[in-house]
This record gives sequence, C-alpha cells and structure tokens, in this order.
Amino acid sequence: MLFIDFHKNLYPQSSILKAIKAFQGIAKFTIKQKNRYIRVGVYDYDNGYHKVIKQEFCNYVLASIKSP
Amino acid sequence: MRSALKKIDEIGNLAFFRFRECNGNVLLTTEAGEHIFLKKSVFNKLVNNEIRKNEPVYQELIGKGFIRNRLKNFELIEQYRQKNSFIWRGPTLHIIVVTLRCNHSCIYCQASAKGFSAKGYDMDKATAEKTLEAIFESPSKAITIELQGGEPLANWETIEFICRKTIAMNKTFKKLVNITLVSNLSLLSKDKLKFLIDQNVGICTSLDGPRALHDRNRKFFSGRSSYDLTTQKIKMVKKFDNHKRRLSALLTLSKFSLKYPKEIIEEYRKWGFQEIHLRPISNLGMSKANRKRIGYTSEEFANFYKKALDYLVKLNIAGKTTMSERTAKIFLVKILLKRDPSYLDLRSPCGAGIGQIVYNYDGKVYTCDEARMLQEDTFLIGNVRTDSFKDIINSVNIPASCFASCQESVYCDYCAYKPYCGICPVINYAETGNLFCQLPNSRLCKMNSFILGYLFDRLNDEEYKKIFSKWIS
Repeated sequence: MLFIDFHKNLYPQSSILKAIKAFQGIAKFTIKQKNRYIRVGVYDYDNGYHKVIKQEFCNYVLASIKSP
Repeated sequence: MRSALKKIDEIGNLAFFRFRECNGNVLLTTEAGEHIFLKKSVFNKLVNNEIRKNEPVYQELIGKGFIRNRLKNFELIEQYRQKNSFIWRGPTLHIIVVTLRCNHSCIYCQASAKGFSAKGYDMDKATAEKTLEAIFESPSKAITIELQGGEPLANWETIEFICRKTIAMNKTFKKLVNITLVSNLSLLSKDKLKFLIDQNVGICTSLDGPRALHDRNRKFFSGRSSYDLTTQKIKMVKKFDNHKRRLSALLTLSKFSLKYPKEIIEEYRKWGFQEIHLRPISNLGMSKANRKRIGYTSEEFANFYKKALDYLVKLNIAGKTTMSERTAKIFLVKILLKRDPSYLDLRSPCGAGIGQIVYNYDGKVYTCDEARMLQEDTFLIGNVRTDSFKDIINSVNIPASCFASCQESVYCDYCAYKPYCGICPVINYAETGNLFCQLPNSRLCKMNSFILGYLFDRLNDEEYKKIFSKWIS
C-alpha cells in the first residue's frame, strides 16, 4: 500500500475526500487521522499507474483546494 | 483605463500586455519581461489603433513584442525560457542550521534562537553527514551550502566537519560547490578564520548601521557592544584575507533604523562593502512577537527606501562610491536584462523546495528558511535521519508551496509588475493562516510595488539609468 500524509494546516479533508471519490474507479483508499496529518493509503491499483498515481492524486487534491 | 481595456479587445492587433499608471505615464509590460513607458495620450492612441506605422514609438512597440502580428516568436520563447530557467535546475541553495544556540538576542530574531548554554540544539556529525548525502543527491550541478544558526560558530566542530566532508564528497560528485557562513562573527578566532579562508568559505555578517543603532537592534548577551565586536572582526577578516575575499554584510531594518537612511549607507561605505541589502523585517519569529514595538508600515518603509536609495545613487553619480543596493539589483536584472537573478523569494513559483531546502539542526527538512522560522511542521518535507532525498523531494508540501506561489492563479496575474515580482506562501500563511491567500495590497505586495514603481520611475532619468546599468553589468 502507498501512503500519503497531508498536513491538516494545508489540506482540508473535504478536498481529499473529493479526490478519493474521483479516483475510486482506479484504486482503493483508506483514510486515517494521524496527529496533524491526514494519512491516505492507496492500494489495489493497476501496476501501470504505480509511477504516477501518487502525484496525480496529490495534484487533484491541490486543485480541489483552489476550486472546491 | 477600463474603457481603454475594452477597446484593446476590439482592436485585436495588440499582443497581450499588462499596464498601470506610473507617475503620470503608463507602464506596459509583457509576459516575457519587456517594458515600455507611454504618455497617457500615446497610450490612448495605441489602444484606439491611431499610432501610425512610421512613428518611432510603433517600431519600439514592435521590437518589444507589443504588436501581435509582428511578434518574433522564437526570440520570445527563448527569452521566456531563459527567464524561467530555474524551474529545471533543482534546489541550488541548501541551508544547514548547525545550531539554534546564539550569543545575541536581536529584537527582530526570525530564527527564534535559543540561549547560548541551551542543550540539545546543535547538529551532530551523524546528522551533518546525512544532510550532505541528501544535498549531493540534488540534481543541481552548482550548489551553495549556507551555514546558518543561531550563531553557527557556536558549533564549530560541525562546521569543520561539513567543510572537510563536502570537499571529500565532491571528489566523487564533481559539482560546483560554494560554502558560505552567515555569522555575527563574535566567536571568530584567527585559527577559525584561517580554516575558513583555506576552505574557500564565503563569510556574511550582520551590520545594522552605526554603533547606537546596531547595538539597539542586536543585543550581545554579555552586555558588551555588539557593534564593537562585529567591526573588530570585520577588520580582522579584511586584514587576514588580504582584502581579497568578498566579505558581505546583511542588515535588518527595525523601526529604529528608519530614521537613519544616510547614516546606514555611510556605515557600509566606511567598512568598504560593495553592496547593501535594505531588508525589511518579516512577520516571523521575534519580529512578529515584537511587531508593535519594532514594526512599521509599508509606507514608512517606502519612505526610508526612497531616501536611502536616492542618497546612494547620488553618491554613485558623484563618483564617491560604486556600492549598490541588492533588492534594486535583483529587480533591475529582471527589468533590464530579462534574466533570473537567482533570488528565490521573487520567482513564480517561489524557491520553496525547488530552489532551496533547509536542513535543521535536528535533521528535519523544510521547504525554505521562512518555513523553519514558523516554528511548526506545516512546511516540513522530511527528515534526513529517516528519509532519502527522493522521499524529501516528493513531499506533498512542495507542490502545495509551488501551486500557492504561482502568480497565474491569483490577483498578481493582473499586475503590470508580475514579470518581476513573486509570492511567499509562507509569509501569506503566517499572516492569514491561508496558504492560498495572496492579498492585493498586503504588506509585501505594497513594498514590492513601491520599489518597482520607484525603479521604473528613476529609469526615466538618464543619470540613474547609467548607475543602475553599472550595478548589474
């Protein structure tokens, strides 16, 4: 499983949930509160996406902050 | 102006540009960084498509890329690429905080330094080694390692270790390495200086102005005059380095400094510095806590800056000095040479994580100097003790800082000064609690706008232009 830690001061949970919803067709996700971070686990995705899925998911979250 | 904009849309033969009124004229700038001043009457003729093709101003507009069907696209692409070449370089500035301990208690300390005898605030050699391993993994061919504190000389063992280890590691990596030490010099002995000179380490110290002002801003813990100690060490560096090394100095402007523009310039002349950097205090660390006592408005800063720079330029014109001012130079390189001056705070996106990285004494890694000064982990991007350089550089906080400092997504995209300016997302976060909040007319925006407006105005004066050109040649 791939883990991504989003700092709560920078990333609102609503943007992360929006990205998970958009990506649910290509991967499965876990989400946990970890101190000042929101930890997202990404798994069960096609091997072909391995190199790009983290960056693409993070970019989607980031864009969602600006355009909620 | 608004009705003029509407007309621009209707004409369609004008290339994209931004404009603003500047001391009675209109300043027009292009995305590639070209600029032109037009009288209001000429500007109105331009947007009404009334300028004749045989008028000299029309040829100038063509040459600078303001006329759409006469654009030299390949030249413009190359100019734009060069202006933004930093995007491909990777982090070039690596700041190592070797200790947080300090023997001064400056009224504006942004680093929130700890007491000189405090325990647990020094970088150990194992962490220093891991830090260097990370630094040398950076893809940049040319890197600057800046040793900072606290007062870095308080952890001399680690400084020695870093200098020796850097040279040893670079035999393998073969990068162009530059090491600089940012120090108040109070702990500098002849032996230490000899080592620094032998290792080709650049030295930058702090000098805030004449004795009374310097000592008011920068308090030495023993009660002794910080000015006396600093200037005594400046003399020592100059003597032992045979005056060849470019010892530089930084000053921070408190509220108390604003009364002394000429005196500060004269102090820098007295010690033979070739450059002065008139830096306002930021809203970080003690500067934020003491803001009411030592802070000032952007208008007060602007008034000081104008007096100081006019005085300095007049001394240059009279042939009494060749000393330049750094902020002006940074902007002038962008305006006149259309080049990136390698100043990380005035880029789009800013240098956080992609131009500079800060390695704290405890192994924690931050996007930039301002980020560690926040005293929180919001802009933390890893730890050299546990993470690889790849892990650090892939932190999700780096794209967040980049995105938040791209001028295209905020108010700055409408500003004529955009090609020359920049956003600091950490300052925005510190002031508003929001990373994505670039407020028009924020303190930083007002200060940068003032300086740019001042420089553009003075560029219309041939004597000033000659001095400005010398500064950046």
